[in-house]
Amino acid sequence: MLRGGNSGDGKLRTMEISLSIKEWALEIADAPLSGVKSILHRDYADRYSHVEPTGAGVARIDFWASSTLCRWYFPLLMFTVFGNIVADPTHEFY
Amino acid sequence: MSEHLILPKVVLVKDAINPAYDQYLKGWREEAIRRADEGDTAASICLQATLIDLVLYGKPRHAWNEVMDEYLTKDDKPLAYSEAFGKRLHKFNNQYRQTTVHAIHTRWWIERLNDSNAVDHERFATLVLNKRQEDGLIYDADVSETILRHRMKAELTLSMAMAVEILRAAGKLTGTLPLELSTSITDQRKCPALGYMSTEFFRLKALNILCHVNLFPTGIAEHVEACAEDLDVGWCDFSMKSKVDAYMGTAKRTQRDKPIHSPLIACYVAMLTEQILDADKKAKALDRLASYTRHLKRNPLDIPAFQMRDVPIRFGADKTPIEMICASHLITQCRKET
Repeated sequence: MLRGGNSGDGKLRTMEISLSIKEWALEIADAPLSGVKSILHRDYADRYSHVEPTGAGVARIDFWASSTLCRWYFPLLMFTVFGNIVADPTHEFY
Repeated sequence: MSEHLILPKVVLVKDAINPAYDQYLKGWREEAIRRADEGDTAASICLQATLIDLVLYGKPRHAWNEVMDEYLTKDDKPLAYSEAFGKRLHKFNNQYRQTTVHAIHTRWWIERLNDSNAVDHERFATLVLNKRQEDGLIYDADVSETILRHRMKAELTLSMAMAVEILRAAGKLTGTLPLELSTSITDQRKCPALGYMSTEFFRLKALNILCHVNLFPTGIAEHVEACAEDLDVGWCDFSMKSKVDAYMGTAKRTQRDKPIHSPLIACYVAMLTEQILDADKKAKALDRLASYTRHLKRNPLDIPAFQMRDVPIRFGADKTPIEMICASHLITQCRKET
């Protein structure tokens, strides 16, 4: 796993390269939709952040999203589904 | 008469461009000016736009030095990217503030182009000497801490070539410094000969300026031949067979990648052939160069981009101002010979 973050460890610092590969990444996302722009291209193109040179020789697009909502959503799901069979889901699941 | 280090033997004069590229270059230039007016610019854009000015009009027609003053300067140091350009990548934040060897050289070259007598060579020489590392090489360790083994070798040799060109203009290549820099850039532990045409051309260029061409590594003929494999015309920057996964140690992941030819790389090969001692191999390379220039003359827009595996979508740029300027140069050479 390469690191990102504000310090930019692992990120390619040469912006020209990252930007020239951006077009490839967006077109890859559109490719299966035959002429229609993907949601990624339409709504999230400006969130394209960087390229990480891994040396693996295989290009891929990584998606990253904030996990803040998950911290609320999963406990809520656990209480809803298992609330009747587990007395105290906050402890008995662990 | 203007020349630039990355464009060997290309004379940047008015009407030096093939008509097939005229419209693209004018459009590229207009877009660069439009964005620069909004503060969205980079040293590489100022450089390419200036090159276009020279081949279209014979002199700089836009005040790129003023653009650089306004948007590409921080604490009296040249920057690679403007703040607005940095926003083209999400959360790139303050990483746009980079004083790279390339940014220093670009600023120096454009200032020299505008008024060669007014350039403070000493100031630029100090900036590049501050980039000299303990290993004797000159590169942007302050921009990224990537260890020497993993740094792109083209970065190492290009940075050296650009730095020594500035040092020569400042009269700093005296005493033991030229030999010290030459032995560093030819040390196989620091900068091995991997057969990349761009890397080897920049190394040759640096040694040329340092007056130590005799230290250029042997075996360039084999590398030039390897870069032509699986291509009908021209050369790729590197041999696909030499491209292996740095960590997996196998070519399995890269075996379906395809080589591409490039006018820029052909210009580099033209310079590297001067280092080929075997007469037959040299003649073979020059024949291939002549064949490639004829191909470009017939198909000026055949400048391909890399593809990732079998995916037909361009992986990076294909036609660029620099490729078109090099293609025009090759086509002109071809016309002179026929």
